[in-house]
Formats: sequence, C-alpha cells, structure tokens
Amino acid sequence: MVERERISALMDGELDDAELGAQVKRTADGGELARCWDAYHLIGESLRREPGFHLDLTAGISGALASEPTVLAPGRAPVAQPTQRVRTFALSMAATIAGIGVVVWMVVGQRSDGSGGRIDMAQSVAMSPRAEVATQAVDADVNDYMMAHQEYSPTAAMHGVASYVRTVSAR
Amino acid sequence: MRWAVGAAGFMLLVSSALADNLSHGDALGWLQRIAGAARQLSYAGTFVYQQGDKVETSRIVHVVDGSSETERLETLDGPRREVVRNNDIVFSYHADTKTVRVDRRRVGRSFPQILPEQLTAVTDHYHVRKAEIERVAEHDAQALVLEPKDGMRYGHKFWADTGTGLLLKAKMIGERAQVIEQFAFTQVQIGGAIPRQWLQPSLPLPTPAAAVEAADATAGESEWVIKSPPAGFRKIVEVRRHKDGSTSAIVTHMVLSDGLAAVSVFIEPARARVAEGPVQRGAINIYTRVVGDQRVTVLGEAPAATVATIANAISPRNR
Amino acid sequence: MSEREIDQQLVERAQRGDKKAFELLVVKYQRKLGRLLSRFIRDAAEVEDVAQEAFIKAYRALPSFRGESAFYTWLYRIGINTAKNYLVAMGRRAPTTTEFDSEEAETFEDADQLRDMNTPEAELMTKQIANTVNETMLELPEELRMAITLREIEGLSYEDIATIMNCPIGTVRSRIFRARETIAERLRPLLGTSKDKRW
Repeated sequence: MVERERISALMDGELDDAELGAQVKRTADGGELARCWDAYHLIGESLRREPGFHLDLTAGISGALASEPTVLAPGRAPVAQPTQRVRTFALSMAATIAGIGVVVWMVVGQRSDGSGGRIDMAQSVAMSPRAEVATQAVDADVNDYMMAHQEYSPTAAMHGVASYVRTVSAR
Repeated sequence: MRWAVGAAGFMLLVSSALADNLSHGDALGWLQRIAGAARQLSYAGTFVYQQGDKVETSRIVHVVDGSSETERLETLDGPRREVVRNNDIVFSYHADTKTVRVDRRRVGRSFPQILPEQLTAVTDHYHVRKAEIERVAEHDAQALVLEPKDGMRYGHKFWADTGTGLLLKAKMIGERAQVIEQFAFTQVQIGGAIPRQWLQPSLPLPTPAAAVEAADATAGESEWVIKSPPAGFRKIVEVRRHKDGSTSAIVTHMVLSDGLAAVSVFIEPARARVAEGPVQRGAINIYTRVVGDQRVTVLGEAPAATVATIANAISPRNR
Repeated sequence: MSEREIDQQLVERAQRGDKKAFELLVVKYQRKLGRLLSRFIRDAAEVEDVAQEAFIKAYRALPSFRGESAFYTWLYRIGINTAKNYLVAMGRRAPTTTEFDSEEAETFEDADQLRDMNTPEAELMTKQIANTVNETMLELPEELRMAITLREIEGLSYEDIATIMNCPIGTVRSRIFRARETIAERLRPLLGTSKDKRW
C-alpha cells in the first residue's frame, strides 16, 4: 500500500528527487505496479471525460526498449523554474489556462443582417415578420453576454441546468 | 451586536450567526458539493422560478451518461422556450421569435465548476452558516445561509439535498432583505432511471457547422486594467472570443468574482449608437459605458452599484 | 506542478539513461496516442504496431527534445509522422488536412475531422469504466472526493490543495491516494478481464 501511495505521488510530480529514481524503477516493472500506474491515470482521464481508447503496450515496450541503445543527453540545463515562482504561477495558471486565448463563441456562420449566431427557423418553417430589428440587435448582444456569463458564474454552476432560466425567461 | 452596513435584512441574524459560522473548509466543501452534484448527478424535475413579480414553471432533465452530459430545460408557462445542451453545444429555442441559437461552451476543464481560487474568497466576504433542515420537494434539505459582509453583493440561502448535495431551492436576497429571485423544485427525481425521451428536444435541431477552432493566442497581458474593484471582486478569467464565427470581431470577456457572485465585463468596438447607463434584466444588473472607441458592458448577479463601480473602474492599460 | 513539469521530470531522467522513466511515459500516453493514430489507421493490430514504433522513434529522438514544448505535443508530431510514413509504405493515401500538424493539438483534440476508431467492445468498456468511476466518486467521503477533484480536474498542486482544504500536504497526498485506490479497486475486475484480450 505504501508502494501504491508513492505511485500516486509520483504521478502528481510530488515525490522528492531522492525517492524519484527508485520509485520509477520499481513502478516500471511490467507487472502489478505498472498496472497501478496505468489504472490511476485511467481514473484521471475518466474524471476529465477524456474519450476512452484501448491500447496496451506494457508487455511489448519493455523488450523493445531493452534492445535500443540507451540514449544519453546529459548537459541539458534543467528546465524547472525556482520552486517559489512555480507555486504562485500554478495558482493563477489555472485561471490563465481556463481563460486567455481565443475561443470561438458562435458556432454558426454569419447571417447577412449581421445578427450572427442564430439559425432562423425561416430556413425550414414559415416565419412571422420580424419587427424592431434594431433593438433586437442590441438585445442579441446582451443575450450572448448572458450565455457567456453563465459559464463562469458560481451560482449558475450550483443551479446547473436551471440557471438557463435566467436567459430564457420571458421579459 | 454587529451592524452590517447595507445588509439591513441580516442585522438580526448577525449576532447569533457568528457563533455558528462554518469553518472555511466546511463552507467550501458544501459549495463544491452543490456544484458537483449539479454536474455529476442525473436528475429530472419541475421547478418554479420567481423573479420580481414573475412566476414561471419549468421542467428540467440532466443526464450524465458515461463521458457525455446532456441537459434540457423547457418552460411550461408563457411562450415556449427550451434549452438543450449536449456536452459543449447549447441550443436555445424561442417559440415566439422562432429562432434557434447555438452556443459553444468551453471544452476541456469541467466548466461550469467553481474554480477553487474563486471559492477561497467566499468566507472573506460572506458569513456562511448552516441553518435548519427542511423538506423541499419531498427531500430533506440542509439550508445554508451566505450572508454578505457588505452591501456590494447579494445574500443567498441554499437548500441542498442532504443525500446528494443537489440544490433543491435557492433564494437570492438584496440589500433591503427583498427576495430578488427564488428557485425551488416542486418535484424532483434524483438518480434512478431517467427516461431518455425527456431529453428529446421538441423540434429537430440543426447540426452546427464545423467549429472553427482558432489557434491559441499567446497568453499575453490584458489590454485593460480595473482600478480598485469593489472589495473581493478579483479577476479570475479573461477570454478573447470571436463573434459570429469570424476571426476579426473579437470581444474581450473578463470575469470578476468574490467566490459566489460573478460579474462579467465585455469589451468590443462600439457600433453606431450606444445607450450608456444602468439597465436591469431580471435578477441581472447591467451597466454600459463607452471608453474610447470601445463599448464596455458589465453585467452580473450583483447590486447595481457594484456593476456600475466595476464599469467605471475599467480603463485601457497604458503602454 | 503542471502536467508539463511532471512529464519533464520523467523525460529528463530518461535523457540521462533511465529507460524505466520512459516506460512510465509510454504507459501514461499510450491510449491518447492510440486514439490519435486510429484516425488514420483502422485496424487495431496495426494501430498497436505503429504506436509502438512511434514510441521507439520518440525514445531515439529524446536527445533532441529540449522541453520547449510539452512532451505530448512533441510525441503527437512524431505519432503523426510515423502514421503518415506507414500509410505511404503500405501504398495508402495519407490525409492531407493540415490541422493534424497543429501545435495546439494537445488542447484542441476534439477539433478532428476524422472520427477515431474504437471497437464496440472498447466503447462498452469505456462506458463501464466511466460508470464505475462516477459511482465510486459519489460514494467517496467528502474530503477524498474533493481532493481528487482538485487534483485531477482542476490540476492543482498538493500545496494549493492543502491551502484550499486547510490541511497538511501529507493529508492531501493521503486523501488523493485513498480516492484513487478506492476507485482502482472497483475497476480492477473490469480491467483484469480484458488484460490479455485484444478488444
């Protein structure tokens, strides 16, 4: 059990350098410990809803690597940052990974009246005349904004699907 | 006896509340549990949403099936409106305007999930305590009170199912102890077999065009600064989004949060006329402003003064 | 530690002659790489062969990996090239779409035009695994569930989790381990039956 706990810490990068080498060696045994390493990773993938796939090279890879000349690339300066900076970076890292970057907002292509982001049912169903296009364009932005806001609102997260009622609520 | 400024409705509660305050860890635990339940459980039910003098009943279904998550909301009063989400694609249908809207939520990390760095701030700005256990929709529910420490945020009371943590009832309470919005299940089934047909949208939905996933921009500095935001409201995320699937129209979206309330800031080039000033959309306060050639729109579930303060605190970063 | 830093720990050991460290990376990424290759190569046995070849190529190329990108991004490119060469050698046409050469593959993996290939048995297994994981998660004590969620879903370090949960780092490590082991215990019967079968 102690062994498995170290495997758990190893996969999180939380084992001391001193223990690291020995633990790596014991874990890549092609047997029970390697399967434990595999199972723990599988759990993480499942929690993150990553698509599953089956492939198991554990049996073959050991032998294949054994016949390879051992690579040595010494003299590379370690890439790690000083610990202090890494830690504070990690806290805000979650936010930057989540946020900064260009994300596509509307999946649907543009419409000629610039309202964008909508598929008018007019394409397949007879549509009633639409009045007040101007105010609708402004309201369209607020609707877009509210949908985007929902993704990050903690109270919306707690309400789950019910939070949409704010955006669909009749005015 | 402590007098909480601007939180008049809670004055009587404060003196006794301090003794019963939940520890930081317990408070976070409850909130995480509630958010987790909404995402991880399959459930279906009917709820009533009250906002101002509006009362609306809706039906919702949420199903988690292996690696896939689907949910549907359908209003049962007034003009029919429906929202169907399958993983990251959201369809919103309004029968009265006969339009279907398609949105794509962020893929990847489990949004919406409360970010831990948001949560840690909660006990800084709210007194969190457990209240009574009540029956809601034939389930035992633990009531949780989140009382704001100042007038820049609303108060909340949540009732979470004792077994699963699912939110069964919630009230958002304003500065004058008025209930701004209330949501309550009248009937709910948690877990168990949920008929797949409840997830069926009531009309055939279009297939979204293939998403244009633009390349990840380098995480640079924000072009905007927010000077002295209201206490506790920290920027937690900034995203630059494409509008209308094009690569040219970019909207900057920042979110500030105190752990519970979130306020979003949207900045994009101003078009023609911009109506500046405060507006209310139900429980959400909105404030619009022009800064240079950009339109700044701030909105969130917070008092109008908070939204306005944030809007007025935004300025471009000096180069 | 970020994923990148965790992998970098193992990569650097491998670069200094520790083959076992590379083996751990293989086990970690074999599924992900397999899924990528299955978009080009339909036959499960061929996917396995090409995957192994890609990992060996990566091992040989290790001295040239300097950590400017994440390990998986680098591995991804090697995987694509190996698959393309394989298809050409087999006289089959390789897809011409350039999006597979994207650097951003690791974050936008869902933006694929070609569906990846999974046998019905593998699909079923994936569902069963997901159900077991989800069910066990709901049964876990609060603090274990929270710890593993903060680690696996939010990607936080033990130190940050300790701050949030207001407990010592050792407790975080123990809670995450107990959560994993509880779930793994439930998964083992499922995984055990398939270990020697090719799905």
